[in-house]
Amino acid sequence: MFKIEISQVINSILTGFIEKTGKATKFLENQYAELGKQAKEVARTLTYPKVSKWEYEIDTTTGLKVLKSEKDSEALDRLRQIADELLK
Amino acid sequence: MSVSNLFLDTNIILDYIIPLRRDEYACSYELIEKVKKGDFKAWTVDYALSETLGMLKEKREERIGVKDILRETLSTHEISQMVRIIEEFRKTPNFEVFAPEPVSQEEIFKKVQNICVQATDALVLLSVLNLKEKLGNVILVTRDDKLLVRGKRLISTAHPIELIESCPTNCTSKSMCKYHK
Repeated sequence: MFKIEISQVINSILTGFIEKTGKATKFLENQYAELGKQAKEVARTLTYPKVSKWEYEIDTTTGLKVLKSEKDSEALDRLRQIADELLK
Repeated sequence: MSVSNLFLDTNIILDYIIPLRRDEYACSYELIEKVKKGDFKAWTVDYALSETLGMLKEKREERIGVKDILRETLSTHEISQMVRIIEEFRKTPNFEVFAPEPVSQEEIFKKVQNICVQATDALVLLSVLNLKEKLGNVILVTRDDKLLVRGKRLISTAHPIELIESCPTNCTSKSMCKYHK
């Protein structure tokens, strides 16, 4: 009789422990899943400038193979701004 | 009046990009502004872009104090921004980047032997000669003293100050510069 009661107590303690551990694990898993989702969302919104591929074309006046690029008089201003952030 | 064709050495491009050098070598800065306005037509070779990127990475490493750490330490974002700097430079009006004709190692060796320059400088000289064949006359613009003097045996060379009216007032190295005017 006494033996049965002890085993019942141990069983109930173990069951309680397992249940609580399970809940804690689920809680943590949910937290990580949520964090993972948030991290993915942040990564999705981060935009890196797209770098164009090196494409060449033949310059009609010289016959030289030159790198294609769209000329822009504002380009040097943007360049200085980025360089200031990185190298000043 | 025809516009002169200039070949910009990597050091001139870096003088424009690196903030401290914009005042230290303000003549290079002013020259590139003149290129943008159309006073000159400027050229460089495609491998100079790689050299420029390498120098920018080194400068960034110095800036954040990781120059002596052997493992890769710059972030994707930093590298992407540096690549963007090069991309923006390529968009400069009146500036073209060309692919030189392939050269043999023997040609480079002979140039090194004949005019006492480093192999990379010999490659630059061969590229300028390649451009000269197509355009007639080209001036190699550099601040490298050896290249300025020894390169003259093959092509026209000039320090950036020779192509602008006078030294910019903000130049911080004017008193030490032997080319100042």
